[in-house]
Amino acid sequence: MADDKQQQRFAEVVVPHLDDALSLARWLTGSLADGEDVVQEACIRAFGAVGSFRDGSSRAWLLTIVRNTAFTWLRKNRPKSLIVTDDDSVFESAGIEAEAGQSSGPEAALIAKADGQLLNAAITALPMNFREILVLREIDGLSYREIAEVVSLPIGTVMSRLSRARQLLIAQVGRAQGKAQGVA
Amino acid sequence: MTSPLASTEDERLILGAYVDGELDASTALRIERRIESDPAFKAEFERLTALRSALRSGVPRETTSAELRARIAAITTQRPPARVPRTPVLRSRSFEWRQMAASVIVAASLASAGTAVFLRGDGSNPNEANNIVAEHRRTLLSANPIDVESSDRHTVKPWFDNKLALSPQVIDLVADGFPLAGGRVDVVGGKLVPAMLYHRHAHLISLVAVPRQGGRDDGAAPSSATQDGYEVAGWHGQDFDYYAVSDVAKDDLAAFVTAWRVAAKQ
Repeated sequence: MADDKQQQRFAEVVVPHLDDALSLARWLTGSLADGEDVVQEACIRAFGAVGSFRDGSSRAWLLTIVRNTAFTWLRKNRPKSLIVTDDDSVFESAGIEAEAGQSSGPEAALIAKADGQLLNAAITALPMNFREILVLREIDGLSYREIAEVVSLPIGTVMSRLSRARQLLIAQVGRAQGKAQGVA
Repeated sequence: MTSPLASTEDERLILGAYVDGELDASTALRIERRIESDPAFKAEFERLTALRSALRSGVPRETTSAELRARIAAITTQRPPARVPRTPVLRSRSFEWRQMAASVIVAASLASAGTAVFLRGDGSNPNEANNIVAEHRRTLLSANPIDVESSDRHTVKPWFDNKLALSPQVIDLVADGFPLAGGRVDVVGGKLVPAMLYHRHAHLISLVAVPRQGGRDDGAAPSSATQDGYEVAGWHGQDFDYYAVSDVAKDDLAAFVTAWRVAAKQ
């Protein structure tokens, strides 16, 4: 592919989604600076491969590369942080499910008042499997179909992980807010 | 079954899908009625929407800085091929390249060894061959040796389908002493291509599959080369050209290639 054409293709396919790419990379690596390095690395790969992108969602295509790059980065730099498993049941035995499965949740008004600091901490505490899907949906605004493409999972699994991620956030935020109210 | 909501878990999923605007109109209508009539369901709905609005205002999407955009723009203005791995990322503080897997170094030897095999007789120009090799090397340097680790070809093959919309033959040669280790995505000639990995005792063999429409295994002996102690073999297969690279003994790699080609025809 001629350089000019490749550059133009990159500008069309990749550049419009850089903010989404950075948001995902920032939440996967845990910091903005590391996220930027991952996005840059992912762009090198995307530039090399942009000729092979045909149709479908260019955003999902780029985010797939960003996600792979981020996991490579994590394996090298934060091996202990990277607990990824396709077996969601391990989290049940870890007791996480117990929190999420409460029948009566906190008041919606309490959740609505959660500030950025509290939400940031709650998202950071999510297991990677859940965090990545929550970020793709709530921060990057991908459709279920796009998320399924990025993480290579069936839509049903995406839905159930997203649901659990939200339950975990609600439980955690509810707890923190309840505590804060109790003190006040 | 009068209700689509078979269990608490399903209820949650469908309510979530409703909040996300992913439901068709008739299912959405059912959910709306349920929200009106069931206080517990309504409370759950309100928690989800409260969480959403809290996230919207509290955790904004990141914005790429001008500095990052400049770094990315620099990628596209550099000529991609024919440079040894240097890329800005290599100098970046948080990337470490000390621990490079053997297969990475191995595959880099494709640079000179694989080229002759590669585009022989199919009308491609030599620059493209260099390009292929440079891209290949660069990608390997920045990629983990194994993207999907599995000894099950029924896991690896769909993974390629999903990632690349390419279906190379994925063969497990465990009976021949080359168990499948997993798969990886490489960039060759500006295209994403599948690479399979096999174990041979403590060694790793990379098998890169470059699509070639209408290609067939002509039965010809594989071209082979040795470089820096690494063995490289290339041959034409069904719809793909294959390149096997490893630090195993030459005879071992030849045995691998033979076993693979035999299995591929079955």
